[in-house]
Amino acid sequence: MTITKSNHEPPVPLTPAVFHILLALVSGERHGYAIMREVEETTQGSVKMGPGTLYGTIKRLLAAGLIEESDERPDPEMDSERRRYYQLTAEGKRVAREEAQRYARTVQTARLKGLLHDPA
Amino acid sequence: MNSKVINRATWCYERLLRLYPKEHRVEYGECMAQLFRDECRDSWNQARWNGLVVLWIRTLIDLSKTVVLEHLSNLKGRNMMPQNIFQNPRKTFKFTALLSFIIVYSTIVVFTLWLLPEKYGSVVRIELEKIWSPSLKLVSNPYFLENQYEFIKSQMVLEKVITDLNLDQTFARRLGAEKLTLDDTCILLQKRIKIHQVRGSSVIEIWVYDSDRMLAAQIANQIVNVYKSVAPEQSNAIDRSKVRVLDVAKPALHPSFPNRPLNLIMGFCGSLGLALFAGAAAAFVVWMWGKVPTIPRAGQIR
Repeated sequence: MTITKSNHEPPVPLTPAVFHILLALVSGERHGYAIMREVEETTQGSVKMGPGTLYGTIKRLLAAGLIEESDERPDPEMDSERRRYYQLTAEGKRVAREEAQRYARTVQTARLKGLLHDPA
Repeated sequence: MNSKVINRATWCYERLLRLYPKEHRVEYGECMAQLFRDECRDSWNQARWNGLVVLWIRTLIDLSKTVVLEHLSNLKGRNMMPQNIFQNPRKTFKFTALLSFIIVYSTIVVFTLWLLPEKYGSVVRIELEKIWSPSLKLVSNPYFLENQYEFIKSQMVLEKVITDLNLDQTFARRLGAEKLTLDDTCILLQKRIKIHQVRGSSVIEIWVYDSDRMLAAQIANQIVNVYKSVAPEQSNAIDRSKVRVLDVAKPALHPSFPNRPLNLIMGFCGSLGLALFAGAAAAFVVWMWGKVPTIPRAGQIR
């Protein structure tokens, strides 16, 4: 997974798994199960990640410096098992923002061409 | 009931986690098992056994993809990926030599052990004694034995052998043809016959090779029988001979071809030589490529 770390190089499209994990962490730190549930809910079930995909992607995001491990504690809304929490780094926020802007530009182009209608 | 089912499912998944590389398993194994347990609970609550089956299918697909990915990623981290290997002449030599050896030798082994058709050789030994005609007295033919070889393999002898043993039908059946002419059968039979002289004697060996060991022996013996019956009638008086059978042809116990042990040993040596050559050639190319200066692209110069 090659992700640009400088503003001089054009942004590389992120895989859906990576982008959705970063999106899920925008609103705050999450543990693995919560990330998986949020991705499933925001994509209305179209993106379902298994444990292998989720933690393989988390490993790569940690290595790329886009997320970091914040804490290990139980989730009060679940059981008493300790869970590892992850949060976005500044670099992760920047990359997620650039990817979202790329999507926005694509959607804008689709609207201009009449493929999509302006919801307003 | 549901906690027992979930515990059992999680236990099975934890066993499958052993397929992942050790480092990945140590770091994330517990989290992955925990996530799977959560998913099991949700699936069971939603759809009981159906939900669990669907979850297992999805998880196994996910597992099979990511196990491969993690192992490849592990290799990449250890600089064992092909693109890293081909930047170093020494690694290139080892990788290319090993790969070439494996491919070539395994091909030879497969061919030798399973694919090459077996041929059995049967031999009949005969002694030829020249019949001296009183009128010829001391005339001798230095090519006496060679002439006999040609006579044994001639159509005069072989056509009778073919007719006696119905070899035209046998060979036609093997080739999947309806019928073979006598000439064609003769050609096929001649290719199966080899004649050798035992050095320093008038003993000759008639070898017949065939995939059917019984037939090979039958053909060899029949050739001698026919030859014995027609030899005295040879038109060339100088070459008339008396035939004495020393050893009757017997069905061979082991195939003459392929010689499996020899093939495997020769194949090993040949594959090794070829692998070393291929490795050296590849290493040389990589070394030369490393000497080629790279031209920077526009925009890279700052």
